[in-house]
Amino acid sequence: MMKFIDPHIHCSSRTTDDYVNMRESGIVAVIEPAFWLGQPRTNVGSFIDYFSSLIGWERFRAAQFGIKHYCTMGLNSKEANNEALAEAVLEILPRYLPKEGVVAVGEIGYDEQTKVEDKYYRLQLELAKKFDMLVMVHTPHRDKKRGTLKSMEVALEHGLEPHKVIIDHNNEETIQDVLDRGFWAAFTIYPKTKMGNERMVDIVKKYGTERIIVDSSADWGYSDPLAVPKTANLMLKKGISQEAVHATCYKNAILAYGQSGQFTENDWLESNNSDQKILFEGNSVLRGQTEPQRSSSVIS
Amino acid sequence: MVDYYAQFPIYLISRKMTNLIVKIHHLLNSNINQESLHWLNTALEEIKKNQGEDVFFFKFASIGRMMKSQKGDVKITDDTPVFSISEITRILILLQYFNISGKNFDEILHKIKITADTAEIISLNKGLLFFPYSENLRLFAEEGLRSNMKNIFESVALENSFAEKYFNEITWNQMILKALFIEAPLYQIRNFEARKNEELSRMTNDYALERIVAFRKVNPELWHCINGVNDLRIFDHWLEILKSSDETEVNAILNALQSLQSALPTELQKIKLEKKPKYNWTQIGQLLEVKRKVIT
Repeated sequence: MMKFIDPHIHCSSRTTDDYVNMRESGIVAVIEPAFWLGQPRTNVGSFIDYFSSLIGWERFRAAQFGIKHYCTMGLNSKEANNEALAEAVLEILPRYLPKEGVVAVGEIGYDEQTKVEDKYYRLQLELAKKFDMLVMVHTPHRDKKRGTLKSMEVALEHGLEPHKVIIDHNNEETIQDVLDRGFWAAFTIYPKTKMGNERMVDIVKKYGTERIIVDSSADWGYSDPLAVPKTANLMLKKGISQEAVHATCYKNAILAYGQSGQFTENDWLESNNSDQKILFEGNSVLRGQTEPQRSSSVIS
Repeated sequence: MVDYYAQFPIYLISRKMTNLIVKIHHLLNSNINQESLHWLNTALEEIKKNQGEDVFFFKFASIGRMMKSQKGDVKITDDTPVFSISEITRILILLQYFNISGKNFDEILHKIKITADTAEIISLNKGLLFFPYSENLRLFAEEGLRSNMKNIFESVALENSFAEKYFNEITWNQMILKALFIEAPLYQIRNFEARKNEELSRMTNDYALERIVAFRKVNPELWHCINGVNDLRIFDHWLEILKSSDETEVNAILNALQSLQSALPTELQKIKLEKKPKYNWTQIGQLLEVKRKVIT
């Protein structure tokens, strides 16, 4: 079976059934970017607990299902607008950035392209430079073309090297500019509001595979944690070569995020079959069961 | 005859707010049953005794349960949305507490916000114009616009003059763009026409093009946002749509043609002269709402 990576997925909002299905579809590793919860956080404590869960419980939960979990850390653009809170988050962020399995500063960028968002985007770019880290950029869903151009211009202004910056949530209107400037171009296959995978097939046919990455950004909205393997299958059906599929749905994620030194193929090739009986701080995903659960029509 | 003013001592900043409280209380008197009225008046009395914020927060939090059975909507002023009974009761209790406590309004709002549920946030957003204006109030409203919950967004954006009065161009444009994105009714945004601007036209042109190249439908209300057309592919798209039988889409384009500042291709120029829109923007918006209800 082909192996896949989903380098942008919000696992905290997904169920264990999703992990089972992802593993069965061939996903071996995921990157979960720090983002917002769906409603505004009101104090830095909730950021601390969330960041800690990305390197703690969620990493453990994924491992129980045979998936290696990595993350990015950062203050998202939406919540950057709460300036008092943003200041507090920026103060604790450096404690998380150098941790194992943190592959980039992200997902950062613009939401509404306000002055405050700009301020905290720039401050975090400086942190990325200081700690020699990659950057995962969230491009805005509204006024996307201008926001994407601005995200790249500002990154270059702060001396970030384009090959160390992944620009995500691209579409037909942004890809050329992103590729021309030497950045990585990630595409989020997300029903209704972002890219569809038939369009992704056309993108790969037109632009090739260099610096192109497919992800799902599956979250608490109407989204699909199997978007990457499904897109891979569709690409094969539509005549795209296995090599190209392997590049966009696996290898390029390693080339991009492997630059962090925290994301290497050996991590999951060497790891054991998932053992749900291993505990995390005394906790297990198992709830009194003795045998690991398998998806089945029988529930007992 | 009940002396409403006796119940609401004037510690307030202005007589205007006293009048507002009296007006709301009077409306509730006529719209809720005896049991609910009793609860409300008892709550107001207890808050008036100024026994501390715990009493207020408890009463405020109880309104959802206590007023749930009271149906009917009320309109307080022309420039604020319609309120449900629960929603306006929250406004009344909050203003009463503000009146008595002597605390800064921003401080009270901040404390409510931290533990607020969705219904409470909606109530506060609808009542923004009733509160003393401050930078914090504007930030609170902007946070509501950022919500992923459509009803919270709409409580700030629709039929609410706080938006047109206090949002700068960046916030205003993002609000309009988001309304298009989530299919909130643009025609219900107050004073939309007066606040159209070039930057909004540019943003919505880009958004339309994004949808067109992705073979996705364009929200017909989007065409109300543009002053001119920045890309010829939009004209091609219009010519396609004008062949369709979808009345809302066709009429939206016909309306846009009438006010467009760009030069038009010959075919569209001809259509502009020969075909006048049958529906105006309000009617188009209303038809779209009906359509969306049918689909969902």
